[in-house]
Amino acid sequence: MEAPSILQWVLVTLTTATALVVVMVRNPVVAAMSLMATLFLTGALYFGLGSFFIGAVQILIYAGAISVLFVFVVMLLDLRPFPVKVPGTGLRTILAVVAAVVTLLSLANAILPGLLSPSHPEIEAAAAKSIALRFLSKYMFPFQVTGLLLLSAVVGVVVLARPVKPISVDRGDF
Amino acid sequence: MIWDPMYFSLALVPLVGIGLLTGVPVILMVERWGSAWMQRRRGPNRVGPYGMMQPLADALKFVFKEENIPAQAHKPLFILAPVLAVLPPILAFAVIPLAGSVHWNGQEYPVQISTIPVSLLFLLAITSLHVYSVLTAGWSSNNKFSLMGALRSSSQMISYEIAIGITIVSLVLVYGTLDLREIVRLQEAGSKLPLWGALLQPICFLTLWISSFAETNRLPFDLPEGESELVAGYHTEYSGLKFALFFLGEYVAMYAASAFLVTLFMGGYNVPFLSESMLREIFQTHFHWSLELASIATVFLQLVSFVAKVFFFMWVFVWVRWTLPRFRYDQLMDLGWKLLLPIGVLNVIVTLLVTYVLKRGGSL
Amino acid sequence: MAPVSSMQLHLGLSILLFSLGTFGFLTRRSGIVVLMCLELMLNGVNLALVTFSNYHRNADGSALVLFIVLVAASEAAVALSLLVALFRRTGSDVLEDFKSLRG
Repeated sequence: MEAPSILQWVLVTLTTATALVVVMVRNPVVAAMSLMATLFLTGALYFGLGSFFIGAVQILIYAGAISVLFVFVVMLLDLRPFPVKVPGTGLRTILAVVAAVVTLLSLANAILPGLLSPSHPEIEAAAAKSIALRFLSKYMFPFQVTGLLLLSAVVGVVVLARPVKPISVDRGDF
Repeated sequence: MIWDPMYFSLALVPLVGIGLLTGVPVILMVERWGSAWMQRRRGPNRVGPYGMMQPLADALKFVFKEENIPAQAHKPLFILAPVLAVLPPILAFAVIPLAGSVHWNGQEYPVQISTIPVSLLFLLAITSLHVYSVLTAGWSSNNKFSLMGALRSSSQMISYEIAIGITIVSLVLVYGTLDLREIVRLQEAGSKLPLWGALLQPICFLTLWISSFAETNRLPFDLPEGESELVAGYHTEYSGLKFALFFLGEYVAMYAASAFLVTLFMGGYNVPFLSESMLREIFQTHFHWSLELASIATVFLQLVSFVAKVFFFMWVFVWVRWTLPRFRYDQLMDLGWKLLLPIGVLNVIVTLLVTYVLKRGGSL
Repeated sequence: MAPVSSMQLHLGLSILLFSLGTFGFLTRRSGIVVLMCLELMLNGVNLALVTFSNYHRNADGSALVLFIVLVAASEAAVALSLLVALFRRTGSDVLEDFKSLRG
């Protein structure tokens, strides 16, 4: 059984902390920045696991593009911190806590016990080359569909983000 | 005894840091004197001989200035923003190959802080993190001008990142690897004509060069911090040491961009016409040095070559700043989206075809 | 406490991220923060996939991670633009205010 290094422990603790901040904090900007930190730290964890390519992609796309999108939107809409403490203490929060704990326990039961020894960090199978070969042979169809998906997302976003016309005449488009 | 290469990399970290910190005053002086020469006026000549102490005077001024935080500003993010401006450029130097390898007691120590096999992608990822400093600074200042400057600057940086990403694909196609060290090694020529990236992929070179101006917010793309339009853009409210950190971050980003361009397109640390093994052989046979000493001398020469090439690009940064006028914002975005992006895609297609034909031995 | 292996640690973190994301998704009022918690959940899944891909030395897991990242990116873009459009029409990003379709 390979024990995790101190660095991995530190990274895991930091990731948990930043994820908690995302879920608990009132100010949406702080939540967005904390999300960036969580995604970046997860990328660092991927580096520690030996998947350098996926780690770099994670930082490039998740922490460097998606998270920037979140920060952009929060700043554009000028969202203020919530006046009421959220999450509150109502019935909804209690139910959410129950749901989360149930998820946690069931996943832990499914994944954690019965594990054999972990592997040494190896980059052979996670290198860009092997992933690319998979993309072009086994996962060719999802690859093409994802391309179409990205295209439709770009077009959809441009359509959705158009400024609203002041005089609302039902022209039947949108 | 045989040391682990990790210790060598760890020892390189403070050396690179010191190198960067001494490089920033140098580029400050170059900018001051260069702009003075181009504008036919005298540069700084009050503080020390030929104004050499000017950067020190600037640093002291920043330290002693009053630090002003606006009343309604979001304090934690306001203080975090300069840190976010400085970290990514310095982090970029973790993967830049600075020289060949030092041979010591049979073990090879590459002169590169981190030798991951995807260093090119890592570099792109780190540049995309630079956007956060701008956004946090602009928003947390609680100032409409700052926010506008921040949104402009960040959308500019993101747009040009896309152009960079597309053209990098053609470069990776030509070299066949994402490892910066391997790319530099492939540009080594020995006595033949150096196969620099600029010769193999000229369009990629030009696109990346132009985009690096946009990424570092340097003229002609510095509308977000244009003094006449937006006061100082996203760092309007910053004073004292925090502003000094932004300043530092901008110059280190310039260094990182220059190092990036040198590594990909100008042969990296390679001395022109002299490959690494040739240099080591010269040192070993002519001077009768041992392998260790020869490798150290080779590394030294390669470092000199690297620094000289980086300074060429830095000089061009300064030269363009004091020569060209500023782009208007819509012209800027048009250039990024309507010119550089289609050219990048065309470049990829052409490179694909050419590489395919060449790999099949000249036939389709 | 029993000694923890590296794989257990990473999988434990992935489970934790997923559960925290679920809790935030069900609880928060601002639509954008709900989307952020969704990204947390996706990241938890990604971490588990990468861990398993490393363990079995199989690139299928990493390929799937790449797909998830791509789809998450486009989904985040579309969802955020939807929220922006909604905000422009109603001036609010609180999810409970969008109840015009309630019976």
